[in-house]
Amino acid sequence: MKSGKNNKTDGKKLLQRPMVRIAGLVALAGVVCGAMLLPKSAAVQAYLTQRKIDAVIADYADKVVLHTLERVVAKNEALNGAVAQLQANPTDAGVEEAAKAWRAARAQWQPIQSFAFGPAAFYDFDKQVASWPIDRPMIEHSIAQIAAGTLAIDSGLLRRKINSTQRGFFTAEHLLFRDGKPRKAAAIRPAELLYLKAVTQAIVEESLDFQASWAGSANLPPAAAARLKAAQLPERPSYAAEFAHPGAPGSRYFSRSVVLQEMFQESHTVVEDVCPLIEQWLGSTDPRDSESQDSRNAASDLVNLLQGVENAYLGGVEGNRGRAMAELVAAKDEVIDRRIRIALADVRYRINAVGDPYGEPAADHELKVRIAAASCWKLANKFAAAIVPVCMDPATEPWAAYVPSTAL
Amino acid sequence: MTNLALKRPVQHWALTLGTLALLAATDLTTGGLHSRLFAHSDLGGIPPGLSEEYFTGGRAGTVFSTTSRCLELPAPAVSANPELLKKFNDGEIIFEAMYVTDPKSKFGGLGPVYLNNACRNCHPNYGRARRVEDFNTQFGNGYTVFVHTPDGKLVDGYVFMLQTMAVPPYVPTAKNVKITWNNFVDEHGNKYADGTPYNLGKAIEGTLIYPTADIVEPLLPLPDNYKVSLEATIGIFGSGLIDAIRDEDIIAEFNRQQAQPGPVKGMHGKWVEEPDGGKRLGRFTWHNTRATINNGPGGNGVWNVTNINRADRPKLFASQQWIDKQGELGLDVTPLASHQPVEMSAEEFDSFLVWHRGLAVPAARDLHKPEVKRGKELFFVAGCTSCHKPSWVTGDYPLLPAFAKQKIWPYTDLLLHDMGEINHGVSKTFRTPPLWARGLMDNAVDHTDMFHDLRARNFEEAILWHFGEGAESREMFRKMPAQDRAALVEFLKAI
Repeated sequence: MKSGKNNKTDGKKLLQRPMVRIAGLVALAGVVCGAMLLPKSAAVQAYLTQRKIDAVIADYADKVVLHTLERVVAKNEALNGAVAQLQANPTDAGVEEAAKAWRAARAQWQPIQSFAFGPAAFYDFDKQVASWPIDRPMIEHSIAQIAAGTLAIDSGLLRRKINSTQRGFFTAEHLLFRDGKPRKAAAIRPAELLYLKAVTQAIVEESLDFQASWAGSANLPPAAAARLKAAQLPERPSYAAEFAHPGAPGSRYFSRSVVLQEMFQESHTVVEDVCPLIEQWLGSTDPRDSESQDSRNAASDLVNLLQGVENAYLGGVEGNRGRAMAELVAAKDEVIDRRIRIALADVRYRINAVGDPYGEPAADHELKVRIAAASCWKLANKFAAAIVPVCMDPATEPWAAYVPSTAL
Repeated sequence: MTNLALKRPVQHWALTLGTLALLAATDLTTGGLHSRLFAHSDLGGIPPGLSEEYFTGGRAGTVFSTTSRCLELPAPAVSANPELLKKFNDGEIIFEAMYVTDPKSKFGGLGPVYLNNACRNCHPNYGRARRVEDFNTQFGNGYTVFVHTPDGKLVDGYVFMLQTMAVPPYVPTAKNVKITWNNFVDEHGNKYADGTPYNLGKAIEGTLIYPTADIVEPLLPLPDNYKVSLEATIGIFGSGLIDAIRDEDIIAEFNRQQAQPGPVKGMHGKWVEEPDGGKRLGRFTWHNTRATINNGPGGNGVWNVTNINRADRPKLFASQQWIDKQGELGLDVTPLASHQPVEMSAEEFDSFLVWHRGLAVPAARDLHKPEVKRGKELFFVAGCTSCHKPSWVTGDYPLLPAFAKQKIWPYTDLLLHDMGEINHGVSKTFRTPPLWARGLMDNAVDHTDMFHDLRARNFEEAILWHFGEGAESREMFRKMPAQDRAALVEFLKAI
């Protein structure tokens, strides 16, 4: 055994060795730098979170909103085209094609509810394109005037002079369907077809206007821009550009938090709206308790609302998804994210399992409705649980409008 | 998708409550910082350390939101009470509903003569109406039209909300209203004292505009000297808090102004006899003609715009001259003269009033910024506070007790002021409108149109349209350096 003195001497000698000294200095530097970096790691973490959020917001605007609106316009164009065909050649097959196009257009419209804030709230696009209830006596009055030759109807007149309760999806539905089925061509009067054509044309124009409000009129394809101009609709700046740059000069969004609040709150409220509607629409045997009473499209309407929530949550439609709200939720709590995904699929499955509420009454119909509604409320609760961690993360600057960020 | 839209705002608020409830869980995932953010969160989510001026609607009436949904949220006083919140939710359905003529339909009973078919159409996204060129604009046009003689008396047969819609075979009072926007050049050539033009750098540089109007195909006779004047809707939020201000406090402000030197001498509204027989001081509408929400903008607006009748409003809102004219045209006037069917139940109306008075005011923003602080100083220096009285303390308010004794910041004296000949419409005097949350108009309604007929396209123009009793303040603003003018506007956007 060596003495203590010798140990000290050995230690000095050890420190005099270059490699050991370098290693010691490196270790010391590591400790010092680590200590210096420690407070900054929160800032770095905030920076990384912000970059992630920016990517999610950008893809939400692009792959959720703009992509959905592009599809909306395409489906509405298809409906308008099918009605034009029907008008030119009024056959039962033509009515069936138009009715099919109506269901497709309606299905594509429902997902817009997950981004019903911003332009949709400013300009009430849903109350233009899908006004409910419809004013049947006034619609019939206009059709009678057309038949009498005292009214020359077109989409411009419908949009500018006549209440929206006399146009839109449910007016088109009323003219195409009865008791859940396409009408017989022979039962549709020529004046009804003229009115229907003006209605579907107006739907195209109003949905183009909706698209322009997010994309910006200048960013639309030339043909679409020309149609908007011909319809005397206003030039619109791009809301998407402002939405995707919160906190930038000129943006109405004070911070990322406010944008996230819009995205999450709107989806969450769609879910909370759907839950009571499951019981109200599917629990009733009277089609008049739902919106799509002539086509009896209630179950599809509900499923497609939830499809919009799923598109929003997962960052776009299947096959064209980007960075997603789900990613932000998972970063906070992977379990909640998984549960939301599962619940979204489960509610849709449960709604579809209810079956036709207006057909032969099934013994377990009420039970199935209740199960679907309960599943929906579970989804709503899970969604709510995800919102606070994401929207109120300090990195999103939730109180930017009220206090300097350094004060928190 | 009306059903869906109807419930949305309440659920936003429900979400806010849920947000608070989930706070503890959040601490685990965000380092516990949120407990600080919600330190005063018994009524809502509130950042720490804010001065009272941020609480524009008082603690019970303010929400902290700047989203596009910020004008439609229930006040903490409502959301704290599940029973009230349920009524608020139900009442909002009436505001959002698109009424139709079919009496058998949901939301049926529109007409037979009316102005618009939904409250929301004139109060877009719960905010102020926007400037329009086409009076037929269904969504966002909140103009009411007065047909009057130069002394402000309505022409016989023309009610104060000109009805341009009628259910066939009836014929409306007028087929349309033609609106013309005219250029205005002030005595300074639309330039500031430093030589820069108004609206510098904008597409509208150097311009001011104002509307004139005429009616198209009037049904009833008109005198040679008739005039047509426009007035626009304002936001609905905060009405309950205004309702809660004591009459005597408004009279005290009136007395103060009468005693002070200078041109600002506001006049109080008329005393209005209420259904209970009592008298209350007018404080609502551009002319203080209504005293309470129950018997004013809420109770009447939902009836006389749509002609949706209820037990306490059983008569058609139409002039006798209009009814007589329908008879002259050979139409059956029996349904017009008699009591109308009840189209809105007392329960629905009660919920509607809960909603109306329960809408929150969004909190002020950016008051900590140096430019905003400078703007505030200038707001006082320029004498703006002579009419735009910054704050009030509400009185007892049995209709919503939590709104009592709230210090609120509406920036209005609730008095009538002469705004000069160029602003002369049906009257030359106008109530000082509240300024709270003007800075969020663009967030919620996508415009910044202001003044009684929306002639001001932005804050700068709103100041520049102050004539009459406001002329001195206008001139002080006009003589300010550009930086100070900008600061004053920033303050207006912040409150």
